[in-house]
Amino acid sequence: MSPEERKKVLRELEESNREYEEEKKGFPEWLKRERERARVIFKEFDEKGFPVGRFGMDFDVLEYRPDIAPKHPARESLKELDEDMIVAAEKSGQSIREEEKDRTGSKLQEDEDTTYLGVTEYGRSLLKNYPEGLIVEDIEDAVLKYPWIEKLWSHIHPMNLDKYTAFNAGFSRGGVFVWVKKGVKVELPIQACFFVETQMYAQLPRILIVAEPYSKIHVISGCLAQPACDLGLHGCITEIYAGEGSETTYSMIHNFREGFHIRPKIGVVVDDNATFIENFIIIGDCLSDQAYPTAVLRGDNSRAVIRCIALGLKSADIDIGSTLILSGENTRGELISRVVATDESKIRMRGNLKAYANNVRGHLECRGLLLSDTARAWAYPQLRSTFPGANLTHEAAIGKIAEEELYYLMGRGLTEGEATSMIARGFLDVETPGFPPLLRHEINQVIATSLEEKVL
Amino acid sequence: MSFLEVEDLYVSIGDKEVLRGIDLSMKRGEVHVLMGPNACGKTTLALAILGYPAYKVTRGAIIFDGQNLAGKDIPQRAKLGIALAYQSPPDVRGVKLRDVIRLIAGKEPWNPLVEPEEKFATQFIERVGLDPDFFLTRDINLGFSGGEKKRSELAQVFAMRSRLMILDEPDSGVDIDSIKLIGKEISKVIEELGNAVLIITHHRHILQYLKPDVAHIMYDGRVISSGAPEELISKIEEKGYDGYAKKIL
Amino acid sequence: MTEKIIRKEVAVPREPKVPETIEEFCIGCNICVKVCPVKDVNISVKEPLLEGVFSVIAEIPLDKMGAKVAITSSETCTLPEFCIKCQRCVEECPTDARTF
Repeated sequence: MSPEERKKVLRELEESNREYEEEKKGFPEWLKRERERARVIFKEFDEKGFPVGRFGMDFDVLEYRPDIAPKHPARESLKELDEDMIVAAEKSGQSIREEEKDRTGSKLQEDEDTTYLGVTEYGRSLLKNYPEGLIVEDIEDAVLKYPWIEKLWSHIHPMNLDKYTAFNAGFSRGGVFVWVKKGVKVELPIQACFFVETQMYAQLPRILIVAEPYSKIHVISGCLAQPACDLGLHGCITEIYAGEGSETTYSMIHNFREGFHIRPKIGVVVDDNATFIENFIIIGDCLSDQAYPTAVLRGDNSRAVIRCIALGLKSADIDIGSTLILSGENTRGELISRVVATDESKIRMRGNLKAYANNVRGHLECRGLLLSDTARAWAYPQLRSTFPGANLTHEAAIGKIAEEELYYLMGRGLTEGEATSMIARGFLDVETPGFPPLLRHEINQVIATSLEEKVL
Repeated sequence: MSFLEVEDLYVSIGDKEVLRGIDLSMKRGEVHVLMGPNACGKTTLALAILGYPAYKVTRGAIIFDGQNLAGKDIPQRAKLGIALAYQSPPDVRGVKLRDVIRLIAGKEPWNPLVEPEEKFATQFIERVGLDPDFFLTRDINLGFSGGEKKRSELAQVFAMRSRLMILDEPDSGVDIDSIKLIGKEISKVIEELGNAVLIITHHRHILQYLKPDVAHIMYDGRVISSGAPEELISKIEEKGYDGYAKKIL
Repeated sequence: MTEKIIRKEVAVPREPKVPETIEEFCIGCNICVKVCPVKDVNISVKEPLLEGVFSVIAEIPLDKMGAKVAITSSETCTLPEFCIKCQRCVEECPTDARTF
């Protein structure tokens, strides 16, 4: 794009943004100010020619527009979606057909509109016992209702983290706000589906999860593209506050198309005695997908497990990893990456453990399986500690499936394909302490289906 | 009619010739014992029958139930009815013993969402004296003791219900009580299925539960002697392999 | 965090000064407290955010009833006269909230 064209696009974006903020949504002043600041930062970065992010493939953010989506009408139920969308969503951890079985509630965002927000029977009975104990809303409604969100906005990841973060912070549309009140344990997950349905659209939602002390919540985010839409940008800024003693789980499943750039920014703060588990799963195609969730275990005795499971398909350029800051006393963290790369994909696995106390324990594991001669994988495990009592370990391994193991299974009657499938599935199945077995099974099924269909 | 016929088999691994003209013949329902010093080629023979690509047949043939196995890959041979209980099975991370047993029987891997309690693989695991609560969820062979590996192999072989079971040292590293358990289970399977069993072993102990029909002594890549088990084993016990071989050759 | 591609041009003063915290960027990770070699120069105070906004009190241990969601913190450097100006807190701060 020429500099003139860029200026034109930016002007158009400013104009459409102004309309969005004032006419469509009526944002509070503080939000408008924050977005303005982010846009200034973005423009500065753009003029200086900075790359879109420190890691991951560079691309021109301005080619994707957050303001070109048509309005989507509200839906009475998730079953109103097209059959192929339902199938794709179900393969991405969303439960739709059987009355949203095993879920507490759902939110569906199509491009920028929240077209469905509802609770299941379990959700209704939970709310009957604990009125207002769980709040799930479109984040742009929540900012109007709860002014204190201002203090939590763009707080964990600063807006100037990179060009992409500034872009999202300046032009974001839609998203979800999940607030679980003190002591309320929501046993079944909330599902937040984000569908991109417009070609060359930039879907930029924001997700804010506040888990009050001693609560329990699991949010499963399924991010998909409609079959007819093959180019786009999807990325969110997700901020999670895991209060004292809470159990928070955040699962994000990416199932996009070959022409998509995906850039989630995830930041988590974990307080005393709290547990945070994240599952970041890539099972669809992409042009590039880069994410580097960061969890700060600032509370004493807190625990975090971040698992990244990815399938590298076709020419995907995947760069994933996570950072754990262990600054509370007696904290424990595990970062686990397991990737299967095939075709001409390339996958970079990163991990960073930083210890700031003497009785912390961190473990990092990056394992890659290459199933084709043209697939590539890199692992960059990093440990950092200035406290001799901190115990940090890492394991990294990249390889192919051992012949010996294949022949062994074949000797039981499995074909080479079946044996490869079994071993690859097992490779991607990560045992996470404290992760409910049925849910683990559900996620494994999701991964296994994609593995079968797309890799083997 | 011969069930398994190994005719003048020469097998090389790379450039090295390991089997030099093996002749072995088994009838349906027979139990054969294969003995010989370490590295004489017993395991090589087992893996060659199973069809491991690295073990190249340079001369001779393996005929199973009337079919020449040449050109058939490992799963094809397994499906025809050949099962091997390995001497040193590899660790297969991520693959559960329970799911391999289920897959052998043509079932889907266990899905707790559909079947709250897993019963199918459990019966095979219990049969070989392993604790199902522990072993159902383990990755195959990972962290198993020697004896546990042997039992896990047998559990899988039993699940295969094969017409030819090749058991490579199922009794080494296993204590006496367990040998009794394993021996009895093997003999039960033979009774039930009428299958042929080729058991590779160094010790006579397990044989008291199995009533072997023929014993073969291997030495340096060849079968140097075949005959009545009791007689042959006594001679080996008396002279040792080297001594016996010297006498024969 | 340290992944920032813009190196904030931290003008390191010729004469080392006592660092300050930009509250806005502080996420209460306590790293500055942990790395400070002098005891109690930096302390961290969590500011409770959500006061009495909830209508449910479900299964919470009795002694934790008063727990509140906390954000940020850090009335850091309450004892500037003891600061030895080693700058460790500035170096280690993951959000560049500690600065001069």
